[in-house]
Amino acid sequence: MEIIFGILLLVALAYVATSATFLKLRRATVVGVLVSGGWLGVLAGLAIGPGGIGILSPELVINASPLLTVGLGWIGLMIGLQLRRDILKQLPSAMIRLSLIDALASIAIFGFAAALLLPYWFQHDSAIAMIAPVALLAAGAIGWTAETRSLRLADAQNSAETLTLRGAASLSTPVAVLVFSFGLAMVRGRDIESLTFSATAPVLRFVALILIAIVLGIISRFGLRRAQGNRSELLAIFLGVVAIITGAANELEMSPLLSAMLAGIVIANLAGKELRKFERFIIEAEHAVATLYWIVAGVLLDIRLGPLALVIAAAIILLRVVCKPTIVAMSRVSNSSEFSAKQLLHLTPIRQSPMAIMLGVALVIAIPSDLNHRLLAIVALTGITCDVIAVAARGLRKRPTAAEQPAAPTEEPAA
Amino acid sequence: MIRILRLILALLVLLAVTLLVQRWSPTTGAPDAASTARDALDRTFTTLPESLTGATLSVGLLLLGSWLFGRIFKTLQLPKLSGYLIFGMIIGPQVLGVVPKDQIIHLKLVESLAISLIALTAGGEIELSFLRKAMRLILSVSIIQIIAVLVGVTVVVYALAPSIGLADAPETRIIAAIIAGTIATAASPAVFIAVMNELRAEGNSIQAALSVMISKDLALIVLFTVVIAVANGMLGGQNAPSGEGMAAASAQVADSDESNEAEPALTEQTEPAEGEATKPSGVVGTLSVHLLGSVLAGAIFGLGFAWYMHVVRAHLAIFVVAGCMSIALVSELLHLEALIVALVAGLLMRNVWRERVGPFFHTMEDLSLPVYCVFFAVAGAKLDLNALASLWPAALALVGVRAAAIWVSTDIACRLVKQGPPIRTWLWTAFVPQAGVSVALISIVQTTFAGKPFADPLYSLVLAAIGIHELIGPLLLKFGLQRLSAGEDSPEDASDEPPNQHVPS
Repeated sequence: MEIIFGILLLVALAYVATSATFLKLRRATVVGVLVSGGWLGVLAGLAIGPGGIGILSPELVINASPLLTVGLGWIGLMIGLQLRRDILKQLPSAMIRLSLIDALASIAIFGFAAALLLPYWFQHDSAIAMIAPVALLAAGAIGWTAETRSLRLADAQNSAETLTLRGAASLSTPVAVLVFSFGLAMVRGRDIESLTFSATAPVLRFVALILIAIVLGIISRFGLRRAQGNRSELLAIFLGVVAIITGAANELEMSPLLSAMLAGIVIANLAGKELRKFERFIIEAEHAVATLYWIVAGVLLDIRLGPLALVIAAAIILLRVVCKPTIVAMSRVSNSSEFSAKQLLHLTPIRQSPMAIMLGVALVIAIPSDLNHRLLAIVALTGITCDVIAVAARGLRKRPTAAEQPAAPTEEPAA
Repeated sequence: MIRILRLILALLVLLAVTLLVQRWSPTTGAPDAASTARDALDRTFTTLPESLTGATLSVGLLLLGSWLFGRIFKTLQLPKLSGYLIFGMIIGPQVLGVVPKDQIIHLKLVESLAISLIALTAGGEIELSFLRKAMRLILSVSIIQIIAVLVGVTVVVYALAPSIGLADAPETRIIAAIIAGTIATAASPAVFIAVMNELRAEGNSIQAALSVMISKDLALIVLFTVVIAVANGMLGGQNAPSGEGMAAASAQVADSDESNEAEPALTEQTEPAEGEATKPSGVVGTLSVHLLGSVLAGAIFGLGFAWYMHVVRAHLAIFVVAGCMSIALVSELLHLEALIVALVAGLLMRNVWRERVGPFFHTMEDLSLPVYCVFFAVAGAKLDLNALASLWPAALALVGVRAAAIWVSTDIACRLVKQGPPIRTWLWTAFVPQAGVSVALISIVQTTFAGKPFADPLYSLVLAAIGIHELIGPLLLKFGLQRLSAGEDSPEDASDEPPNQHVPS
């Protein structure tokens, strides 16, 4: 019977999510942020998962890992497709600088904090066992959400600051994937007693994946020309390429997100109008795939976090609230004194990148340990809390009255 | 020619990449079993078996490789479906072994999805108004064909029995022959739908073929259950399938090809209740409830899908996939026939909310090719080439007699209802292909009569015949469907016979 309840629940959720009342509710900042952050999907997953009515068990989801891996590949490919040379060349230096500074600072700050706190939580004194969790928490902290609309700072929506923040968020995603994937690949073995460390093996496998990505990029270009825009054939080629590249990553013990991202970069940089069609086709499904993975994340995460895990989550939240706006300020993205722009620069970086959840799901699918289920829960908890904090901070910071506004600069009298 | 060479080159590169990755993999040679490990929190967890992690690469190869192979076949004017099957056979465990047997088991999810997708498509192709008008044709073709195939194949298997190791007592031989005859009445809706989609064939003759196939499938479920129950009563089989158990097992493996997968469902579902299930009357009773339950579940699903299309109408790709998976899961859970559930859902949607559900069926069309590529490539990979190699003369005789019986019976049925060409001439080609339904049924027979001397030879013979059907069926079907479609497009070219008197045009 549970399965019927589950189906009814999903249909009811779909109905609620598309109803006129809900669309009105989405205008409220909190609901807007929850929806755009994917938290409703996570909650739906929690409801049908072992924490809720239990129609989907994590084991069932893990057994579907070949298909879930292909889905992760879809996400990786979408990231890679954005990295076209012609687009990258046109990016403003401020955006690249912000992204680089944030990535380096996040890896240092959050990686250090994770490395400092995780030993208190772990039952084993193993430095190698910390590499993957530290990589997840550090990579998950890189960047922020590229979605700025739901904060309802309408005045700032088309400003240079918004574009810079969104662009930097997009640039951070491949960095996060790279950091996470290398962290994961450095450790071999599953049992805590038999873990081994290798710094060179991931590099060699990375090179192998690049070569495979190039070959598959050429094959997909060949296939796309033959598909002649037929959607069904496009889907077959696309899924085939993604499955092979992610399957290769699985076999080489690398992250499927990374391998698919590499394939995406190759495909994006092989010119041709077929590829543009392909790109559009893939991006059309972006929202649907993301929703599916938010639900999967909800099923997979283990909410039974002990006090020590909660301390780690709290530390990450605190660091995010304090450090992220500071990093943005230090990067000197803007000198604007406009209220909305300043608020946007303060609040958006607090919100966690949705990629963090995907990284957590990728970790659980690769190694379905209790630890990783809980790490995913920590990532989800930090994400949702940071979103709520951003909304609350927006409400607290009242718009200055006209009298409080800084006086407009007056022209110097001519000498 | 250059086009074909390029496609072959792409295919070879793909195979080379896969083989190299498999060779470089650090997990190659590791024991393929889920084991337990401890994490940093000192908690035990189950690791993924190597075959599960390797299954993604296999899915990719099966998908992209069969797509390329299908293109080669298309260039050669052959059905793409045959390309998928043959590619699966080449890379499967019995030839190259690039996709090992243990990985194929993990692709069951794709099979469940495919069965629901195919049945929904079939249901969406049939109009109730057509069914009403063509009822006489559908019933006469179905009944006469079942009788002809059952009798023809039973006689040939009985005659061939000594040459295939079925040299038992006469009553055992006749029972084995009747079982083979019953299984021979099965067709393959999956192959039909895939070739139909490839040719974009539509019209009355397609609807007629689908309707006959569905009515035959319904009759087959009843017939098979009764035959097995009677045979079990006479021979004392190990697990007599009740109607419910048989359908649950067949639903689980319907149009799949994995013999071993039928076993758990069967043993789980088929505990006879103190002789109740072995009595034909008890079996038919259970079966009726079960079939009605499937129809009811199908109606509920159809209603739910239509409501979604009316109210929500968003994320259709995900909705279609989730819907098909739900049908498979619910059918398994409630021991229903997934094929019937999906079929009724499709039929209801098409006929009651035609305007609203159009995008639903379009989305299904978009999704169908990748699913078919993997589904049929997996079917090819599972093909029992050993059985085919050892029993091909007998299997060929069975296939020949079956095809002749289908041809003659369809012709007689069409003449009885005064149905002219092209339906009378070419409709029979739709019923020749056989695939997963037959495999599921013979797997049930093997499990039910495990230990009986006839079980294994019969299993091998039927599998060999299915292998031949899988190879020649799509070719014949494509040829026939092209003639059927051409005949419908230009009725004046048909022949001197009166065209479609009972099938509305």
